[in-house]
Amino acid sequence: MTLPQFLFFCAFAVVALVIIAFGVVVVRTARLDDGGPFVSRALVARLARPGRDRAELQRWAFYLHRVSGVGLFVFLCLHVGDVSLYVISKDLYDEVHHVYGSVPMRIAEVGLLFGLLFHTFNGLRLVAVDVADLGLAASTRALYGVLAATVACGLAGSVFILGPVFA
Amino acid sequence: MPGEDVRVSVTRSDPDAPAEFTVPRIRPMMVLDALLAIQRTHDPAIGFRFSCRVGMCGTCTVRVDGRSVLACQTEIDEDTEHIRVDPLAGLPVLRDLVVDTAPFWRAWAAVTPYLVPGEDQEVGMDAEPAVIPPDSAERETIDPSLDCIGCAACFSSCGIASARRDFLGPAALNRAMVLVADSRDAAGAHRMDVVGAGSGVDRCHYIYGCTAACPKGLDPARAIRRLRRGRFGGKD
Repeated sequence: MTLPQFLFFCAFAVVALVIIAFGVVVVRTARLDDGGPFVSRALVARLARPGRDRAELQRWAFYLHRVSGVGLFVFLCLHVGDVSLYVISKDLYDEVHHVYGSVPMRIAEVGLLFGLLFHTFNGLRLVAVDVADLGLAASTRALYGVLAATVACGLAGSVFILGPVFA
Repeated sequence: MPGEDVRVSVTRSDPDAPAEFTVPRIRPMMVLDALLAIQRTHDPAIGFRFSCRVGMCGTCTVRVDGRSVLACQTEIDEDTEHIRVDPLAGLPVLRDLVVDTAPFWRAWAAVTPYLVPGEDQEVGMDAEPAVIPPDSAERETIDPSLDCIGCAACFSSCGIASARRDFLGPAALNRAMVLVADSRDAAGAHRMDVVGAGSGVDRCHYIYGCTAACPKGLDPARAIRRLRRGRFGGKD
């Protein structure tokens, strides 16, 4: 591994740490401040019951939306930086971008893909809540659609991203 | 076979005060029954509020296993052997389960929560009452949003308001929608300015905690959606 590649890895590690730290803050806030239930068997039982209890899913969608949003933003900052290396040197750009083809980076890219898909679909759901005046039940159904679309598209994309690893 | 006792964990202000209690089960048993049993038989100093016991005063709101509910209306299921009771989220704790609801009422007051008649309207005991047919669109908008008892369950369940972010909260916005939709009210423009400001409807992220938690079955999230649309389309 060359020095530029090592520095890029370090920067990516910082990005990952920021995402994890923000996730911890969000979950701690949920535990201490928000009125939502604690992560427990009681919560899982509630989410399994039809009706208003399942609305609790939307609170966790809100948390995931925040974490994925911050994650995508900090990664975008890094990505703008590594793409702009092209202005400095084409060889340096190629050297750093070889890192994206490594196994750890490909696994991280799968995580980013799922984050991007969830953030996008959930954002569209929130727009639909306003535009189509979705109530509690309809919005919860839309969230199921968001989760299904995220998993389906994420798995399809993962095949392409991880394909070279297993080839 | 469910146990004959219920274990109750209560968040106490004093870290040295007992927080785990076992009370005999009665059938049916509400959370308030369990708290009263604790007060009678274990710790007379435990702090909690209640008044009407029939779900109309909104005094006894607590969080049971994280969910904001009226203690007098929440039954401890037959198969539940342990519950955890916390004070409402987002409001300063005074003692044990007693919170200071001042932030909730400040938000309520901010939307001018009473009807402001127009200058040309007749008011007073001799005035003719306004006639708004029960099947009118105005009634159909307003009626499902009445009956708020000010229990603050929605405020505590809201991921924005309860996290002490700058947000009026679901109850105040629900009240604002009721009055904005009322044809007799003359302060709609002022209220729309308040709810359209930084701490108003745009802070809502549609978590639906308010609608799910309201013990009276109101839908504050619907009121917030109406207010958001109302900013662009007049009073509705």
